[in-house]
Amino acid sequence: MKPVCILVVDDEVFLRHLVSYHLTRQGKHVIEASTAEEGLRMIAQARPDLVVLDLKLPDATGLELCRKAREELSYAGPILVLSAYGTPVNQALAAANGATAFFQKPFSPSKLLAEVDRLLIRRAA
Amino acid sequence: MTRSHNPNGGTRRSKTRSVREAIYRAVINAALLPAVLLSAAGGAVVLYLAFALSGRVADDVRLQDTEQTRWYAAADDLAGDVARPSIRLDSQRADPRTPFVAPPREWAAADPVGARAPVVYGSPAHAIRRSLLLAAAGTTAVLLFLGLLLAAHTRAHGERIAGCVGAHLQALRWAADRVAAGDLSTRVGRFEHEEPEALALAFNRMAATLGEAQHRLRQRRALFETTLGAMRDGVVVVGPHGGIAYLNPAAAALLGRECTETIGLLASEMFDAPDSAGPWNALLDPDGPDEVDMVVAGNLTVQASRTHATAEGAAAGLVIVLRDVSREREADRTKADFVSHVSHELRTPLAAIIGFTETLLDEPELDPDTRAEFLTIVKTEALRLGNLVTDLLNLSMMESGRAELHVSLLSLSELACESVALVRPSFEEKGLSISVDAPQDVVVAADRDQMKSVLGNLLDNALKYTDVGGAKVDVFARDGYAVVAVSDSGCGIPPDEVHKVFERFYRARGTTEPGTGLGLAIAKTAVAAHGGHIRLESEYGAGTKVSVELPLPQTEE
Repeated sequence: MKPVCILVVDDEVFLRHLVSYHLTRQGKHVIEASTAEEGLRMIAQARPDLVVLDLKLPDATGLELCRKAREELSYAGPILVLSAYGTPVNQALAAANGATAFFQKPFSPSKLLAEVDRLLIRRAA
Repeated sequence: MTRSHNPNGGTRRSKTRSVREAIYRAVINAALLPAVLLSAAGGAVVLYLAFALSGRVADDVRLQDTEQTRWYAAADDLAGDVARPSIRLDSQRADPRTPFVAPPREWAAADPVGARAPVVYGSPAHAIRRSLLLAAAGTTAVLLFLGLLLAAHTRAHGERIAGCVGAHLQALRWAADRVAAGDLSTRVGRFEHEEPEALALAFNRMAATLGEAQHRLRQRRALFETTLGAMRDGVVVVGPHGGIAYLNPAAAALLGRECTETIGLLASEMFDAPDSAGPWNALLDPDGPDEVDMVVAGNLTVQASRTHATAEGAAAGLVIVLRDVSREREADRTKADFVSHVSHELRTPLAAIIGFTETLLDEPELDPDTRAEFLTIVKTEALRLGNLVTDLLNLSMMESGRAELHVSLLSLSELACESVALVRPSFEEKGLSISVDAPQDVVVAADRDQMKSVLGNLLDNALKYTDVGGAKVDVFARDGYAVVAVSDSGCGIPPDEVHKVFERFYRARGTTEPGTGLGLAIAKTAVAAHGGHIRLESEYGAGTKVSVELPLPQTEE
């Protein structure tokens, strides 16, 4: 059975590493991107089952990536936004641009894993 | 007396004057007839009294005449020449030699006053009566003459009075017209006659009172206009029916309208653009908010607050005060952005620290290498957090002017060499060159730690953003300033972002290098605190040069 593929887009190398570590330990296949451009390319090529996305990226905002993934790449998988800008406005904007869920930094790795599983199960259903 | 010509009212005024004079003449003519009649009546009374008096006198004389007649008769009898009795009326002309014939005694009884008693011509009674009648006639004539004279005089005087009164009324009317036209300095002069004079004085008092009242009103209005004109805040007065009743110059400037063109406009029609019209109309709505923010001409943010005005207990409209809050709102946005940035920058290392710490705690069976790796990450992120807090505090201290400068004479050449020595290993590790060009010693009065921090920050940026070539530090003096410039052959900055580089939390587009985004903001603030400038020139893709200019110390001669 093909493992679940998850894309992690974040310019913070340590945070990418943290998320990747935990997902990999659960048997998921993790691919990483540090810029929006790189992230879009990976979505187009790898068609991941889920995307974990930071809102603040060096070359664009996570919102732009989200919108382009939905509109230009017709990506239908869940997108989990992970951001230190956890204001209600940003949450609403993320939802309006196609995000499936919002998680605020700092975060508990176990809770993040639980949320990822919930989204994957919902998608499968 | 002040006079002015009224070219439009001449014909109408002369017609009015003609009518008035005609009325005066009619009144005077009407008074003439009674004057003449009164004179005639006086004459008649005099005549009657004279006639009556003459009759009584004649009666007394007639009694004496009777005695005399008797004497004559006796004499005639004696002479034997009895003449036929001859009775002559007073009016008949008689022969003076005709002898008296005594009238019958009953005549006197029938005519007690003797008025109709025949008087014997040439008798003493006749003579007296004639004298009295002549006197009465003369008196009557004199009275008539005097009456006519009085009438003529009255007429002449009346006409003169009428003429004078007409002129006075004309003057008063002219003056009243002037006052009505707004010239309250108008006064009428002295009049010859008492009543017009009193009227003129009353008129002048009224004009003076009005003038003083108007002067006070003008003074108040001037104060009102000056005050509202000097206000920085805009004031708009909306009348009870929704029309613009007043707009002060500040309001006109804020709304981008002329004061005069808006007076009388409906307040609800002032704006078309949604950013302005929406909040403005909400403010005009009685159930709406008392304060709104609106965007008006020139992208100004204006805070409009309303107060309901009342006059004598009744609603008199709205007074709206407009205040340009663009700076305050911009400051609010900057502050909110700053807090948001700080929050983000603090949360990011915290997220790594918390995440890896939780992992270490949850997985005690982790192999030692992974554990050491995670602990190193926690330490690195904790140090990053510490640096961020230090930078924020430094920036805050410098921006608020609370940072104390420990100024001493400082050799910029030496400082450049020291700073380069610190980063040389990092440059060499990345395969980059680094050099200092300081042909002469340049000394400034500056805080050594702050200048070291500034130079270190510039060198750090050069290291981060240069992949090929290297960096160079030049120290020299020019135009009264000491200059230390750091040039690199790095990626450069896009032209549309050059103006942002000194903003707090600015990070070069596309960078994945660690950093707080506060380095250049702190450097700019520190240099400014020394009275200097910092400049950045960059060619995108070719390199960047940042120059710090500090004023050279003044040499005493």
